[in-house]
Amino acid sequence: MRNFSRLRSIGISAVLIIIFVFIAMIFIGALDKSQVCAGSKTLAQVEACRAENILAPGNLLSHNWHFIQSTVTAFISGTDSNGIPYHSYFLKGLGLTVEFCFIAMPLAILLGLVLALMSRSKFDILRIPARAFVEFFRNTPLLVQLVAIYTGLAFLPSSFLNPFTAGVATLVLNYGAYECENLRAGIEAIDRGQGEAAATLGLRRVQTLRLIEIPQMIPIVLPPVLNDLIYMYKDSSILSLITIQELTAQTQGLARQHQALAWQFYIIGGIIYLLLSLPLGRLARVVEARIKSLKFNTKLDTTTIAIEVLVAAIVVSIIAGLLVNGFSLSNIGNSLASVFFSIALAIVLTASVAAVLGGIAYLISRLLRLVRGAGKGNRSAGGPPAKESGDGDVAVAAALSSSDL
Amino acid sequence: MDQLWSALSLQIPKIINGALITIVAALIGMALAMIFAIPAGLGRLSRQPAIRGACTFYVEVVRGTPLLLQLFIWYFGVSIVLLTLFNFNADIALYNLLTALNSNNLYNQLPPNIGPAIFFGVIGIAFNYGAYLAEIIRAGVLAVDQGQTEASLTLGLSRFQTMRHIVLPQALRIMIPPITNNFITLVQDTAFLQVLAVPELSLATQGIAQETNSNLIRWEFFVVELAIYFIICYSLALVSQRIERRNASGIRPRRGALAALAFARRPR
Repeated sequence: MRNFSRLRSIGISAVLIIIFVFIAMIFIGALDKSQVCAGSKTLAQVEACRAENILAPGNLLSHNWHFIQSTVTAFISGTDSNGIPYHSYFLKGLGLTVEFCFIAMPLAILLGLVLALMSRSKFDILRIPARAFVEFFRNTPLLVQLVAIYTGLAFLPSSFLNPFTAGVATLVLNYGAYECENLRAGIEAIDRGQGEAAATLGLRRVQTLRLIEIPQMIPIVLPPVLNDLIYMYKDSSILSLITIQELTAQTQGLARQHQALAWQFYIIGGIIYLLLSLPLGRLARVVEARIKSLKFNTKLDTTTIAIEVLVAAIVVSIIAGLLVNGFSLSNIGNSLASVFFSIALAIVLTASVAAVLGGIAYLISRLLRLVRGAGKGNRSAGGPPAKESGDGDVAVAAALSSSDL
Repeated sequence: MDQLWSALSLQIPKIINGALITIVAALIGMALAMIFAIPAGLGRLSRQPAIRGACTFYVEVVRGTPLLLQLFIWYFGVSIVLLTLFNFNADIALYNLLTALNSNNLYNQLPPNIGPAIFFGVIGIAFNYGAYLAEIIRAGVLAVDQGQTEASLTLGLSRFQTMRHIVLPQALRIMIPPITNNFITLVQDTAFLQVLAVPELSLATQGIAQETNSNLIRWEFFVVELAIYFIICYSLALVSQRIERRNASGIRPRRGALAALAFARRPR
């Protein structure tokens, strides 16, 4: 009896698998057939092509085989009219994508740390700009931010604002806001007593942060930060809109130039994205499951190691950029200069946006306080004097600082 | 100041039109995404390895590739395949759909031949978000205490009844805040439709902004656009926070399940 039910479940699985494979084969066959039909010249040929029965086993198999074969040959040995192999386009695109991620993510983490510390400060002048900055960047589309920065600041000199610096600065600003939320959650997870104990022992604020808080934060924030790195890897595809030739742009460009191989290129591009994002996602999950049970060596200076990792990522990104462009003295100088200018642009933009938005948010919070205070005054005029339970300033601060979106 | 106001007041109808397209596309996209997500999310919990494998394939592949690439595939790939094989013209389909809905004047307001872009753009966004929502549905179902399922099976309910009457009502309360968050990010991601030339909020404003020579007026349009997005998304975020706070005292999810939910949550 037991054997029978096991056999039955295996049988059901087999039937389902066959059905799924059949559906997939029909899908690929339809792709191939549409490519063949689009390639045919005369009307009669198109009619004949359309009349072909895709469901016939021979046709299905041959179409599938043709499609897979053409995909593999396009990637391995296919060349365009200039003799440049297709895979070199893809590798170039991948190099640029990786370069953008590895330069923008460390900077975003640093910006996030600054914003997180600012938004935990007890001074309004630090907290309100940081909160306004974070909420603004989390609640507007990355794409629109990118376009606004790139086209809106076009009056700046081109060495300061070019597609590279604008792309890096936008990614840094946007992801800095998200990293701020991650890091803030990390700081809040640490027991307040730790900071108090450190203060009692005579450590300064910076020392507390470096020796006590950051080492304990790292295991908490590592999984979400890795997760964000995957999102940035995918989100960097929007840089193709400001003429940066990264992976999506290369894929789209190839597909547009060679209509007959369009689907092959899309599939190759998708697989290249998956080849990095799937292992990274798996890594994030493993880290998440393992890291709490790992024992850290307390003698190691974790903070310094973390900073070294971030700097190393930027160096890797510069090397990736050089691999794309080729090693030469002028290229090295150019890429160092563009990294420097993008950091400068990010800092300038952060400061100015935080100042403007902070001013607006501060104004709103004061106005709300005024309005609410007046409302309370009116109410209490008739009845018994109402107790000042909560003022608008606190309410806005609470609204601005509420963590979970 | 006068100059700024006159420039803006001329273009307000265009901006409002764009905002309406953004909102409608987001609502339709969300509804379609739920249609993709519910079978995929529950399928990932199936005992049948083939179904589980197929749903995992969908979720992992869609989550592992960028939305932009997927939109290109839908618009330049799928639409052409359907056109060559079945003579399926999305423009005509959209026209017929709007005729059936008795709102043909909407079609006349759109630019010519925009049908395929809207049709496949919205489907592409929904297909993408279906995978993210599927993860949330899976995590939400897993977050409900196992004891609930065991108890209801002991009482003689079938597996379907258990899911329908015991697990899903509790899971839904856990799932609502992350689903709202995904809706916020979906509203933001409708900006991607501009690559298919759909005149939604960001493309409409960009078109206007690029016509002017004055930097000040250009920034005025960008500020208006960003403010509209901010108002929509921030109000949704406040709603989501309120729901989350109200739910916090309700059901207690299983330990570790909340971490899974946080993982499924999309940062933007």
